[in-house]
Amino acid sequence: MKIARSKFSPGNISIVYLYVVGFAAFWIWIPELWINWTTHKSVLNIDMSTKAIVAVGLVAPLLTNTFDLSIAGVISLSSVMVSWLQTEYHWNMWPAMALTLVVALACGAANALLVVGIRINSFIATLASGAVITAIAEYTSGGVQVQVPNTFKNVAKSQMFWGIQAKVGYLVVIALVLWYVLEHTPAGRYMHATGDGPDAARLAGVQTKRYVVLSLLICSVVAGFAGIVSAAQTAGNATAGGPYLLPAFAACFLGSTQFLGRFNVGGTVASIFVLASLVAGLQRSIENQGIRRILDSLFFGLALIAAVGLSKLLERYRERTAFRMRALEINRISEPSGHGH
Amino acid sequence: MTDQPTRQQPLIDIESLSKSFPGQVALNNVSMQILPGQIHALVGQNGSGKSTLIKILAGYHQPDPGSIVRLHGETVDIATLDPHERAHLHVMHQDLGLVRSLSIMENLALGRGYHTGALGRINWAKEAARVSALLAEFDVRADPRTLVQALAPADQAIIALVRALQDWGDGEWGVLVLDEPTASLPKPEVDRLFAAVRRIAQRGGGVIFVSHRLDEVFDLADHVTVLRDGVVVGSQPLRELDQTRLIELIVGRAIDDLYTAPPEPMSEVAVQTENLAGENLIDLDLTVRRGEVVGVAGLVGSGRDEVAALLFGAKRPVRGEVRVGGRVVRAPREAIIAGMALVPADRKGLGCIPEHTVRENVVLPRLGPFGRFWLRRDAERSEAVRWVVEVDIRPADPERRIITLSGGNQQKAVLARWLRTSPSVLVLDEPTQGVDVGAKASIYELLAKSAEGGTAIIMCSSDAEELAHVCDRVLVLRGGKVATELSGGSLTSDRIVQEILS
Repeated sequence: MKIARSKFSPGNISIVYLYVVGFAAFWIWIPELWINWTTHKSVLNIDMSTKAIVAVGLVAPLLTNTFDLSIAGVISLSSVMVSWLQTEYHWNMWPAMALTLVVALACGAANALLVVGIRINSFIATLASGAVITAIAEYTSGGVQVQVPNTFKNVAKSQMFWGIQAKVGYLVVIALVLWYVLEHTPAGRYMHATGDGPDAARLAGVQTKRYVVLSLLICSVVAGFAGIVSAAQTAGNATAGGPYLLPAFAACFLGSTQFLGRFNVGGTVASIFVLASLVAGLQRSIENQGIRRILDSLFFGLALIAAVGLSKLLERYRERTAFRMRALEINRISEPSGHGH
Repeated sequence: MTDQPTRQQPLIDIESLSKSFPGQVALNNVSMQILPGQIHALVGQNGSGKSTLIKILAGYHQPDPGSIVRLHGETVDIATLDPHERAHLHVMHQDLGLVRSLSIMENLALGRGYHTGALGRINWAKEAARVSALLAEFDVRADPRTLVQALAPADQAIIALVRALQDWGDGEWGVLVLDEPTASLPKPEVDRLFAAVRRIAQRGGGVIFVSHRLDEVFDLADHVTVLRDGVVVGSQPLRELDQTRLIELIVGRAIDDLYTAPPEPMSEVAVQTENLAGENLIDLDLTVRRGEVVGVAGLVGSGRDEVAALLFGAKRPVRGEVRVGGRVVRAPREAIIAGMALVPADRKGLGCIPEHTVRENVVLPRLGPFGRFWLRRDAERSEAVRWVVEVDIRPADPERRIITLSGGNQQKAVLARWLRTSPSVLVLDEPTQGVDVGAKASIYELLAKSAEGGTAIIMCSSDAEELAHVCDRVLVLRGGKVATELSGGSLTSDRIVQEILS
């Protein structure tokens, strides 16, 4: 069974092994805190759910080889907007949420215009558009937190079962939908083809532009939804989005080294769960407040470097081995022939 | 040139050479002798063991125990030749191993050392005289101080030859192994290189000539050894062989002909262009009927290289239009919907998605049959398996990444992708470039079969031989315009080449 072996080989599911090792270590280290549902519940509810929602949305553009750095701005704007509509204009939460999602979609459309219409490199285009969107969020909020009604807080915090909050439910639904779209529909296949060989895909009849646009729209709407959830968690905040950017990219890239060897929803969710769990474990085992506070950034930053770095190193190693063999060959055939200097 | 009397002592005598890799025997009991003055061709398909043999001769692989190699009658350990022995068995690779930024003289002195005078000063005059004499002998009209990078490709190759044989003492000839030396040379340059190779043979040196181009083998060599699946399946003087027989030996099955002649065209028009113009192409009016195979020939820059992209809508025409079944085609997607298919020349960049599997590549243009909302993997897989078998892709595993296949099998997969859409017009650009002779034959067969089914085929190619045999008629482009159209009796490869160049 060749397929089965490669599926479960350490290279493909290293993230699972990492979790097992970490789990065992914390079991020994902090048994009372670790073998405790409260800890894992809070990982799911607080540490990972919103981050993971943003990250699975980001899988779509990354699959078409398009970067979307504007997600931080979109999260901030929708967090501010959904709160502002309710407190300043006393909108009911449903229309407020609907309009917010429409605005998030518009942000995605703007990105699509820059990337597909004008053909600006997606990295540059979304870096810039993200800054503009953040500026709008800051202006709207007036630089302060926008409080939200208590009923709205239920959107994020209402409990489902075993103390798990609704946010986790949203994550599951969004992840399932995106998994289905990206892995099992023609659209997903076309996005994948667009990302890995845009010219070849176009010559095979794939409407590559359409799928880049679609992926940017998906990413923005999902980020907009994450912004709503984050507002319901605390309050509308124009700086809400910033902390989500790095974890989302880290999880996507780490996820791309897992399961399928390319950007995928399952790997992304698994990566974020494992990283968040490890951070939670460490935070509970370390006394020092200063270190506790930086663990999150430190871990996700290192994870991004490790994920991208390791795959690059592996690639270089393969190339270099090939090069060395070639060099050896050439040296042998053009060795000095004894006449000397 | 004729074979030397067999009494002569071979320069190199390979006896029962074997090489096995884990799980595979690459060479099995290979024997081969190179006599002084002999140009000995070594041919075989990709995977025949040819490259393994060359790597062993280059000292890169250790042959299996029991293999015997004799140089000038003395048994040697091929993997650890001393420099003197190495000079008498020199493998010249495609990259030549020259330092391009040094002069001819400096390149020749590399490894050999300079003539030096008192205090170790280099005696440039003496050095230059020696090199000039060598250059004159090999008809390279260049000053010894010329940088190698300033030379024409053929001259660079000749310099590499000269560098190898300058170390052979009088009466002590060695063997040169030339690995695909003509791969990047245009025809006139090839002739110059061949003249130099013949010169070496006249001096008494031996040459092992490795090439995919069989016409060159017949042109240059006097003896041929054919490898198939690691075994020598034939070794004989070339005058006892013709091209058909040689191909049979290489491929291992009787091919009536490498090429499959086109079927009778139908009357219905499949594709029509009007005043089609591009960067180089000027006003192409082309009408191709169903079942017709039309070739397009011409030099680079004659417009030939953009015909395929213009027809398919992949490149925007400066003016004019393409009609398929009455519909105007302006973009690849429209072309596909109208029933057109394109096999581009740039396989890795345009023809397929290298990192994707054979299955994903083959089914990409038409996913409809597998469901609009949920792609049924099993249906997809069985369809892929069907096509892998149909076009005979090896290894027959649709889940392999396409980049891991040989060029010929990649091309078969690309062809399968498009044949699967049952196109009414199939446009091909350099369809057999980098494809070994066995795969070539099956590609021609597939094309003929498709034409028989009513597909109009337009084949742009720089291989005149191929065009002459496979097409009903061939348009020769010159300076962007159709210079002539060849068909029937006038359609021969010589005529095509003549028309291209005139």
